Amino acid sequence: MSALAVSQLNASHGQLQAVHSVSLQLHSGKTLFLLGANGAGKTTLLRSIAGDHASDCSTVLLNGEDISQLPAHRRARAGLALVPEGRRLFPQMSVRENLALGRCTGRAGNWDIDAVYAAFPNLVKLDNAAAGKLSGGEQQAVAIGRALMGNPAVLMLDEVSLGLSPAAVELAYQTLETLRDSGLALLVVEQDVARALRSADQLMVLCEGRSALHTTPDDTDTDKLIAACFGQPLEHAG
Amino acid sequence: MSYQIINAILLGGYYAVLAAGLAFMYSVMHIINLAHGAFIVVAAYGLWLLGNQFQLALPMAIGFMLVAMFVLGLILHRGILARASEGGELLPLLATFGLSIILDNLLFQSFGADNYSLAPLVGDLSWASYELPGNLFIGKLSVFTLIAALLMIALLDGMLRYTNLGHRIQATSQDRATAALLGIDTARTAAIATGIALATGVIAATALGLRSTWGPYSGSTQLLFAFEAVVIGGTGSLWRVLIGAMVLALAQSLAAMLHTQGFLIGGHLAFLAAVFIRLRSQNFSVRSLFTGATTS
Repeated sequence: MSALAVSQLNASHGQLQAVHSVSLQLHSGKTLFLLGANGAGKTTLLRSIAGDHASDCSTVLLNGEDISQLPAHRRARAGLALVPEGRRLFPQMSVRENLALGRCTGRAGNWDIDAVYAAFPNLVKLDNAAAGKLSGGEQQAVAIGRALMGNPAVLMLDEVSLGLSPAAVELAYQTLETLRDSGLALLVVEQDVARALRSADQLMVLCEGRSALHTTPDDTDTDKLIAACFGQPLEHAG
Repeated sequence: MSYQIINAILLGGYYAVLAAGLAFMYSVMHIINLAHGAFIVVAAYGLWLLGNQFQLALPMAIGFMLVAMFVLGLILHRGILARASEGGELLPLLATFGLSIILDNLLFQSFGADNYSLAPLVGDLSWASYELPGNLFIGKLSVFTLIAALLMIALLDGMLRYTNLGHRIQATSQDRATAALLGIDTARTAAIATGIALATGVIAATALGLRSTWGPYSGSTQLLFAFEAVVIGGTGSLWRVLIGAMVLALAQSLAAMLHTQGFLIGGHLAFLAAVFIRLRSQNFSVRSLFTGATTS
């Protein structure tokens, strides 16, 4: 059974349909990377799965349970976490207070503040600092840590490496690999195609709201992925 | 002169009690509850009924009304504010304005035009006083009201800063979508915040009922002073309400010393001065009236 199964998801911004019947499956201990140009519908897809954006005619199954009728906070309590684009921390609250808010899902599990600090040692000395004062990489670590505090089964991350230094990106990806190996199912939106190709178990390319390519790293390469991002699927070899 | 200043500070304590709930509601929900004064009067009638019809001691009646007003706040949020908030910034303003008119007239229907007071419930507390050096007398009730104001603001502020509920309320207030993604039931959290704001009205009702009489239409006067105190103080921290209330009371007392009819005018002038300073420092919007100039 897949950890997350989305079928035929449609989502619109007013009259503009941003996501056209996208289906995907996500398994525990695996990472699915979602690629695509700006405006391809990646963020809308993630927000729709999380219940933060209204979608229609779709089924979202989390560990086999239909959560498509639930509001966002009930989906979070069911074990679906989204680290939103731009991190969206509460800037006046301290790092510890931001992390503690992640516990609002009320889910049992191994994650607590000490475990987050063990995973992100750079946060220990910032415990009491206001979240708004941190660097981009530190904020991303807090945002990921906050999502983990809710002990999710599926973790979705929007634009993980946007605005981060190369060192911070490296740290974030190391952590994601650890999380994947611990059995979490990951759905990651990434602009850096080469990076996605190295870390993914599966890849999906969105183009103009449609699934343009759904593949594995062994069956594709950077050129094919980039071409799909811009709506020009290369002819299959031969 | 020192007598006037001491009395103005004590009066400021009363205004702070009136304004705390209004400021709390605005700072955490971004809703200006124009029915806050009417709810204070509703709570005052509730205290009067419990004290006179059911022979409850005032502290018991206060405890009972705190729960009742909290529940009324939950209903208010579910029934009116949650829906009105979806329509933008102005709709809750209009909705609560309408609600205050309905409440005023319901109270008139039920209790008539008579004036009521809670003073008989507490023996001689309403006119008892402390003697200060220099042959100054200050009312015990005013001192208790000031202490209540300080305690109320400290409790609300501490709750927001240091408790899980306070952090959930702050998260809901600052970024509702992200709060929901973390598993926070934002509708429930906002309803609880409304309940807390209305419960503060019980303390205001106690102060109102003990220091003076009230009638069914007294709500608008209470709202006016509360509103002026909040606007003068600005939001950002609940403690600014205390400053606003003190400035309002000092301006009124000062003007009353200059002219016997000056009391209200002095307060309104301080209010207008605060409005003009805010409008000069920020682009005009309903929100800019409340936001402190220093936070821009």
